[in-house]
Amino acid sequence: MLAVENVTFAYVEGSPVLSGIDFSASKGEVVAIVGRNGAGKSTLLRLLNGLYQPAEGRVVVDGLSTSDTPVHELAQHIGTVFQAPEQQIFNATIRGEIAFGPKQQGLSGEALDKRIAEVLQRIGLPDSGDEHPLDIDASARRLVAVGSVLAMQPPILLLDEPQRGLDKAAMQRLETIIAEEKARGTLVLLVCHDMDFVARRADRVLALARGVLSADKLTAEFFTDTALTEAAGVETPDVLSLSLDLGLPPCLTPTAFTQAYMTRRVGGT
Amino acid sequence: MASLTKKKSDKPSLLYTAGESFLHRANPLTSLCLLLWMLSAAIVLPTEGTATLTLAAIAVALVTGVGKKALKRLLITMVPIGIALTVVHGLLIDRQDFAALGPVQISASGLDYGLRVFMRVACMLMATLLFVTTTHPADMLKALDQRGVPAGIGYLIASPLLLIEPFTERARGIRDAQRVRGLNLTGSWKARAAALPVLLVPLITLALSDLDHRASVLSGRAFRAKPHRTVINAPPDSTLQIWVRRLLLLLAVLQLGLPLLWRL
Repeated sequence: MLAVENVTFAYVEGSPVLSGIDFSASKGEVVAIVGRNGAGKSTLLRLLNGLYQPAEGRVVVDGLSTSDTPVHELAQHIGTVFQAPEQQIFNATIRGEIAFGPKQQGLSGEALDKRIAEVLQRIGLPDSGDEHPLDIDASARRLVAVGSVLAMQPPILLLDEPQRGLDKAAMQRLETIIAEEKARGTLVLLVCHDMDFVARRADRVLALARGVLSADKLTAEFFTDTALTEAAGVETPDVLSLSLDLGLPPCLTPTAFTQAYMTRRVGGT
Repeated sequence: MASLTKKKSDKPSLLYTAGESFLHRANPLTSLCLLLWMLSAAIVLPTEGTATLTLAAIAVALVTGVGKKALKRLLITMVPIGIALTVVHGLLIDRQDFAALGPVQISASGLDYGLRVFMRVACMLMATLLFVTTTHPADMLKALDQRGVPAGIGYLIASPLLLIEPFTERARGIRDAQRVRGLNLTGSWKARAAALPVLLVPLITLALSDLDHRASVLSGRAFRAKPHRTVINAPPDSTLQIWVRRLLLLLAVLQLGLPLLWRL
């Protein structure tokens, strides 16, 4: 579904910010892209959605090479939610904002109304369609930005720091949306600095360090390998540290930790 | 510690070009006085004088390593102005001296006047480009602050240049955000015109909402504090530069003042 083949990219000729990036991802996967600030995560995201073109190698999205396909056509196959949702909001109503993408796809009438209602429901604003997007709180505004991309039903979804600035309720809703998209077969790629979030939601971790792919591992394998986390400059999730400190099997979610802990207690060890 | 001693060449700015030339190293106030002198000279000099001064400024730009950037902007701005001046003053305004040149009637005095205006504007523009490409706005602000210029005035002078870069970045961000939602910016002019509100509304909305935020941040950083704040990493200055500045300002005043007195 997504193939990144030996990609190199440089803003200034001779100084590559990404070198030899090579990976692929399939439908239904949730892949986290992690690394220090300046490691090249957001640049990689812009290579995936076609905003940047690789200097070497190629990116293939849903069978289309980003080098040969205009960005607005790629948008039918890969949806992106950037870090600052305010940057995309231009409509006077939430409904209008969500309708923008599907309208570009040619959707109209009853089908469009149905799509908007479904998205409003999913982002938890079923009765707020006529409100101005800038009148709602920042968490809800970010969910509107997510919703405006969900409305296009792209088979690949890119989320740049989706959890940042979300309150607890919005965070839970976002996690539900990611889980639903995974169940639908959508490939979700998220750039994230919150390792607890990554541990809870990602199946796989791609770590970038100084412009190269330093790790491509299943989430549990990545976080239990100290050398990999240190190379990527990321912290071990709290729940995993706790489980390891207590001598439990590595746990990536509080639920898994509780189960492991209770199992040990019942087992009397 | 490295981040505290960051050089001005490391900081982003749309027009400024990093370098180590004498103009880059000069105190920003010296560069500002040079600009003021060149602007005043462009007002009073005849066409030959403004042409010479423009060529001299181009030569300095080339020597200081900003020539390519400055010349590109000079051409982009001056070519349409030159065409407009030629058409309006050479072809359209009747000065009772139209002469046939092939199929068209041309006014020699109109062309002469157009050339005078053209060279004056070119000279002023080149002087300004030389200034903005070699002087970082943040350093300008520091130099004004160091000299005790009221913070409001210093900010008024430097802020347009300081805001260009973040404003351009934001415009790019908005354009990218809409493109990845399917907005086609490669279609017909009609389609592009229809896309304008999608790009402009967020840009204007964000700029307006920024105003209050920016004012709060400035207040929080003792923007109008009295006595004046201490300037960290103040641009270097010297007695020679102080005298050069005084000379340039005196020349500027004399250039503008004497013709006025003479006419009186």
